[in-house]
Amino acid sequence: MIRNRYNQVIEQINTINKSNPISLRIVDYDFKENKNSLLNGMIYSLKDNICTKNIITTGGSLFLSEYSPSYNAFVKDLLDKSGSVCVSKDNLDEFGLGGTGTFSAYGIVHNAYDDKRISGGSSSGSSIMVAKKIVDFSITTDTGDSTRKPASYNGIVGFKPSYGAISRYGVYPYSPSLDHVGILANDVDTIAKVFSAVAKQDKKDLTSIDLSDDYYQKINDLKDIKKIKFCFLSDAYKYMYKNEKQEFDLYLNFLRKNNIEFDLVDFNEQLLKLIDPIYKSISYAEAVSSYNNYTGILFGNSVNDGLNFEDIMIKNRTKFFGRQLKRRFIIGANITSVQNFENVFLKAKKIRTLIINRVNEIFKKYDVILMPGASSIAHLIDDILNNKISEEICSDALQIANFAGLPSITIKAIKYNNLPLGLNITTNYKNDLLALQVAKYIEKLGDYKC
Amino acid sequence: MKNNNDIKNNIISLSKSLMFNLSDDEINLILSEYSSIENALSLIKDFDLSNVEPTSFVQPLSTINLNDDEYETYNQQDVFKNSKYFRDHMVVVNDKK
Repeated sequence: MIRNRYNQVIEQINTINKSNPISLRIVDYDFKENKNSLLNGMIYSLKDNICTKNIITTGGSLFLSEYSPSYNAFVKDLLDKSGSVCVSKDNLDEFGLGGTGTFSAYGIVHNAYDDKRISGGSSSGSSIMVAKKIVDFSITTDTGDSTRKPASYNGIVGFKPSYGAISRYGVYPYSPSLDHVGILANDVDTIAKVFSAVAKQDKKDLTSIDLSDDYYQKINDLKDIKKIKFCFLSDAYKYMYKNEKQEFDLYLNFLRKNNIEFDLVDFNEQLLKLIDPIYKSISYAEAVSSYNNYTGILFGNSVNDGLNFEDIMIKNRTKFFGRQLKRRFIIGANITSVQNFENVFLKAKKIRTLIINRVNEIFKKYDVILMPGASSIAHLIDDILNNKISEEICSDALQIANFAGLPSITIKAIKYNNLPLGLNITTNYKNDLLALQVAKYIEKLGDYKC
Repeated sequence: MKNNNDIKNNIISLSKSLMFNLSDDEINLILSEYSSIENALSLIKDFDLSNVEPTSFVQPLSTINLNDDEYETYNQQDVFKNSKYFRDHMVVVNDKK
């Protein structure tokens, strides 16, 4: 039966891939039954920056178009033991450096609801794989909002746990101090089941922490929602697009009517406006370091033509890195250059401290922070390619959870022009269970217009 | 204030240090964004942070050390399969007489 479903899924992927390149590689059928696991028989996919032994893992880049890892990521080993079946390695913005789904070397991924619009990224292929219900869940990464924003744009659930809760061993690094492994699914129950299976401490990842728990069994244990103290980030909300905001106002009223009482809290507008430059300063600088070993000599593609190693290396990096990657590397290198190191890079890390301090202040008074899942519905692909989208301060607020390592989940909320937009729920560090419980409670409320 | 030529030269110099070349199109793309990035970064420069410590990681990193026997090892063939350069330049010595 599982074999039959696997075969059907392959057919679906092949059909969709003709017009929307969501999958980069089909994974051969490999089912090891585990009747004790909640995931037994589930079909899933992996973002293609997560290593799979002897299965090509491109990272969405031409540089690794033939790269076949010698080992599995820790998370893949755990899923192999859980009786779930991996079916696909999914398309993504090159090495996760992009937020739109338009920067893969293997083509633009289109939105699940409107093919003229972006899927969001960098977990672009995975988000469509889940939104189209081809797979039960997908394992992704989230450095800025790469799991949660595509969830908002495609009407699904995207969860980024506390920093270190899921091991990053075998996951291509982008910005190690901000990188998280995430989960996409169509409902909070599935997220909780998967998280229960993969939240295990791993000695091979020095940032790994022990947050193992039976999240699924406890997901309905929230006794009284009225005892949870909620706040809503009003200064981020101010920057939401006007039409979407009007619709979101209705949704907020719906939440209030269903016992979710929240205070409006300003995060700090000055800090909010700094989130984007701080994110760029830290993540691009770390990315330069993460990708310095991509020379094409020891691994990866090579032009095999040059006067010496240096010449070959320059030709390899010139040919096989995409333009978005090079752009971010240039900015990252500029930020860590001698003239900018203290004035920009070090200051960015200090402002990160201020952001964490502000979050800690909020969590002294509140249990849960609510905010929109994005500034707007998914943008038009043409607008992204023509650089027509500038500030996204409301969306930028999602990155607070990466700076502070907080559990953060985006669930389905509203529809505007028949396109989805989510609600984001963020809780304090290591309080992942509460984030899942609140998400489940709100999910159960159903449609805000009924 | 830097002029466009200075910025362009800076971008080219950075690309050299990063070991890749940029096409004219790619340079123009970065140039077009450069001023907005500089403006954003100037917000950081203007911030008073005299008594604030920088954050690198949200938690102290674990000091667990793996024992040698806990590392997986991979044979040479396994590693070289991923290097087109090595595959194409490998000299195979037949030691069987």
